[in-house]
Amino acid sequence: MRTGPFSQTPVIEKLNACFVPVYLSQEDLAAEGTALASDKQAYQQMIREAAGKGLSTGTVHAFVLAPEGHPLDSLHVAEAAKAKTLLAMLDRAIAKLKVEAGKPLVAPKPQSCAPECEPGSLVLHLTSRPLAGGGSWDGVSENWIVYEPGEIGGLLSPGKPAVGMTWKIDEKLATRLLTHVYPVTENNDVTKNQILEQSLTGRVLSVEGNRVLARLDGRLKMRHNFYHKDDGNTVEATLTGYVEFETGERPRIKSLKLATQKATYGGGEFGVAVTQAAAASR
Amino acid sequence: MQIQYHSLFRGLAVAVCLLAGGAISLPAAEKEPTDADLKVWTDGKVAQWRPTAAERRFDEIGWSESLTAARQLSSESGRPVFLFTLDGRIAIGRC
Repeated sequence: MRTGPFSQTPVIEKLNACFVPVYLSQEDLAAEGTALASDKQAYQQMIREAAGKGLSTGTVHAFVLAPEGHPLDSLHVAEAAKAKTLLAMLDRAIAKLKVEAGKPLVAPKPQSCAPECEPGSLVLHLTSRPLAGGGSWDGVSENWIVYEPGEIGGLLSPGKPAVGMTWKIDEKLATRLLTHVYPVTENNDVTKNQILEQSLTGRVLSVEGNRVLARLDGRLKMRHNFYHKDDGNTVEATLTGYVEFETGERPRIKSLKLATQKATYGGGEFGVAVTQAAAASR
Repeated sequence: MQIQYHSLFRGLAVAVCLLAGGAISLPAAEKEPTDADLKVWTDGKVAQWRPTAAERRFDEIGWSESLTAARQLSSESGRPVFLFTLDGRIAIGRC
């Protein structure tokens, strides 16, 4: 939906001009989820009322609610993913409620942002996109990976760096990044990923004063199910990149970038790029 | 003896293939960047694959922070709420 109907001008314009758009994740709506208690209550009430009215309901669904909070219309995601069908539902609501178009009631802003973290943390932004051969959904996915200040040393060469020195990046820290190296699939519970083989190593290329440039090379073989059921699909990837850092009592990473040389999954190829991002301070 | 040698050879050949298969099970790089072109190669890939503005048009929609806030605005403005529910995280395309 993100790179489908929600990226199409007629849908964007109509939602902004005539609706109050909101999205909610079922993970957040679950009993232990982080959604507001009032959201959980309103959602459950709305679902009961929609079902009572004979409207379609489900976990991945589009709904229109009247200003009084009652459900007016709904679409299963398979239908909502068709822009024409989605627009028709929006138009029905506009006609029924005689909505006058206006400016967005909430100012649009970036929805995928670096998480708030401790000052001095390293924040990595990972992008995954399909390249060829299928095996995953279209579109692009992102992840934000945070290393707290005390963990940064575990990513860098131990001791005094010298040209040619190699080291193995702390496995636990490497896993935090590598577990997100998979294409756009329905299953995004990374705790279900099973890493069969992994390595992430560094090799110092140059040292100028306290500034070090090192090459990074990674390898990953990881079981990752497309849906939440066992399908035998496996990610196989090789990654290359570099890290520039300053040595000292508290080593500081100036730049870190990685990209897959080749990554395969489900018979297709995908690409992953990782880059350092500005952290949002807590 | 000929049959035994043949079987032995086949067994060895299969073992070699399996071992080789295991060793090269990870995808081979099309062109491994050298140390000299490492930064140019990596910077190029990162630039090429990062999300484009067209892939983030989702951000052009004025999404409310919560259903509670959306219902409040809806009640005040007379506009209907459009609610999309999902498994996963649509903001990062992991859904």
